[in-house]
Amino acid sequence: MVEVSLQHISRYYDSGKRPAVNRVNIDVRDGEFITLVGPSGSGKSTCLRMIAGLEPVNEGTVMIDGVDVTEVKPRDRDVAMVFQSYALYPNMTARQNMAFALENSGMKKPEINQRVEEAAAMLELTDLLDKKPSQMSGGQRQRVSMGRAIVRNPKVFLMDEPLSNLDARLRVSTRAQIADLQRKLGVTTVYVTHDQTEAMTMGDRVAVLKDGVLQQVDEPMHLYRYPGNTFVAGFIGSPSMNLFDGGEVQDSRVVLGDLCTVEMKPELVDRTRHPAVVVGVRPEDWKIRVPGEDSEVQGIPGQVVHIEHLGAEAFAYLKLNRGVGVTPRAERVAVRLNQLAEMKNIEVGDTLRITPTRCSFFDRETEINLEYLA
Amino acid sequence: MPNVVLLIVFTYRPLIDNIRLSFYNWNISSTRPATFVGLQNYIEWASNPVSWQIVWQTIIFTVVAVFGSMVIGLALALLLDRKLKGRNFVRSLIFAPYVISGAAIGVAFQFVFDPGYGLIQDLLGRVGMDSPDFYSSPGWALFMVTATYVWKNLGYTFVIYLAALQGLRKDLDEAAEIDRTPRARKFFRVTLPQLRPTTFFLSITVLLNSLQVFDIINVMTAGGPLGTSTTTLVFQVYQETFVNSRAGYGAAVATIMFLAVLVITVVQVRMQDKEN
Repeated sequence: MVEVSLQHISRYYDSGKRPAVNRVNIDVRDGEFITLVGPSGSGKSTCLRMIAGLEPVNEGTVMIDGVDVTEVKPRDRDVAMVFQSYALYPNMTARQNMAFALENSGMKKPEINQRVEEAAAMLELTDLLDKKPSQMSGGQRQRVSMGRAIVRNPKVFLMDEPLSNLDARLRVSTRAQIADLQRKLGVTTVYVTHDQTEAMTMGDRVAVLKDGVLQQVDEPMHLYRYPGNTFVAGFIGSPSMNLFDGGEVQDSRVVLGDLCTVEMKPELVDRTRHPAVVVGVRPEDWKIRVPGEDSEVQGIPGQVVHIEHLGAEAFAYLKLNRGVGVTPRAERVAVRLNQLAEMKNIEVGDTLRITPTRCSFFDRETEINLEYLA
Repeated sequence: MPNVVLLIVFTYRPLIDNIRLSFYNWNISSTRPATFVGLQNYIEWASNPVSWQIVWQTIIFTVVAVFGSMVIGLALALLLDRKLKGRNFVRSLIFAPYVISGAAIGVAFQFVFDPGYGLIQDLLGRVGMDSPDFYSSPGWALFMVTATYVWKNLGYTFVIYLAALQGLRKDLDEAAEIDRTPRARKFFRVTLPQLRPTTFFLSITVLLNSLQVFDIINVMTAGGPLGTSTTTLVFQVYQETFVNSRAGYGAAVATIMFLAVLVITVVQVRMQDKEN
């Protein structure tokens, strides 16, 4: 049972400024793959480095396997780390890189060889074992750095954006490999990324950070469907959730402009503390009225200014008409075109009417999702 | 282009002139013209046992100067590459001798090594030991000039190594820490290999500089005691050319030295290329 527990951990670089990591609480379960995601400067890498012991913890406690390791040196934490730069020793071959930590621990040569060979076979590195990092591609180096972590058989894997230097195609295949490998090995893993797709596809749970503050920890799909606040709503998902200010709550409905109202669950209505809420709609949660249909029909009118065709799906970006009483936060509203007909028929310049089929509601002041407010 | 012209005028032309002169017998203090003697100067140099003694002294001086200043320079750089109070002052203190004239250092260190009232004599006296006679014992005299040169050159190797240490990859250091690498092993397996290009650069520049040391030897021992105990090849060039007025013979020694340096440098570069 190896659990990692971050208890109110903070990191101050400059005492006068806001902390890089601000009282973060995360409990990583035994064998779990958790991803820390957030924009640049959100403190995700700092958090990881605090778990590794490479960064001091100014406040709070880091527990690994039930032991307080806050003041323990990195070498004594029994963690293995995969760095963004891979941090392979350039003067050593792949074999020497992988064996290095085992040699340091005084392990006997035959056992070292066996472990290295096993890890190399697992990662399809056998042919590369006698090559130096400079003779390898980015993907191969990445696998060697994984191998270096695996042979250690550590309590915890820590991975700091290990795929960020790979090209898009290799990144997709490698992220599946890493996720599979982690499930096979069952080692508790903390994985840092700024790529929300990577976070969503790899992690058992995803922790979202912003400005050093933990925003939400949740399972990927739940996080997507029920974002804790407007930041998570905007950060998770591509294109991100469309947010609208000033949705007035009237009875059990929220008025979204002059031509559209959406229903709100009674328990959410009870939780509203202001006459208006922030309404969030995912691009796939719009019903679209295509041109030629009855113009008297309800829906928010907007003109298509751009269409993004991605092959299997397409997104239309709308600029909402003026004077319809809706205030979107972004200049353009993203709408997924659901059917082939929509993809074919809709063109830039068309005026569409859109109606949300599913919404999230956020408190106007705190921007917290009403689902989470008691 | 102007650089090439300057290089030709001030480097290659004198070099070729020197090689040409090495085949002549020319007394620079006489009005008689130089006479062509073929390889006579080289044969005389090679058949004189003193020449080989000087070669040996040059090797000892150079090897100790190169290794000494590089090892101590690196050790000091490692020591001062961390957050210590007053480290900038100490860094300046170590670098200062490098920019002081060799002659001035030679004069100062004459006092340090003076067996009668020098600093070394004083320090050894405190532990009940007598100071060696640095000025009359050939071995100690060579030690003295070598140690003085190492001290002067330390600032150079120190500053270059310090800059290299500050440019080392932090992630490798962290990886080594997570890999539980013992300190000595980390130094030899992680730090030192990263310093290899710097070490190579220093080994060439310090070697070339060491082979050209003249001022310290001239001021401290004038090549003695016993005539040639601290004479190196470059000092011999000076002695033969300007003291004994044998410019052709001096040019032959300079040419031999040039060829030796050329061979050493080519070997070093080849070794580096092979490693890369």
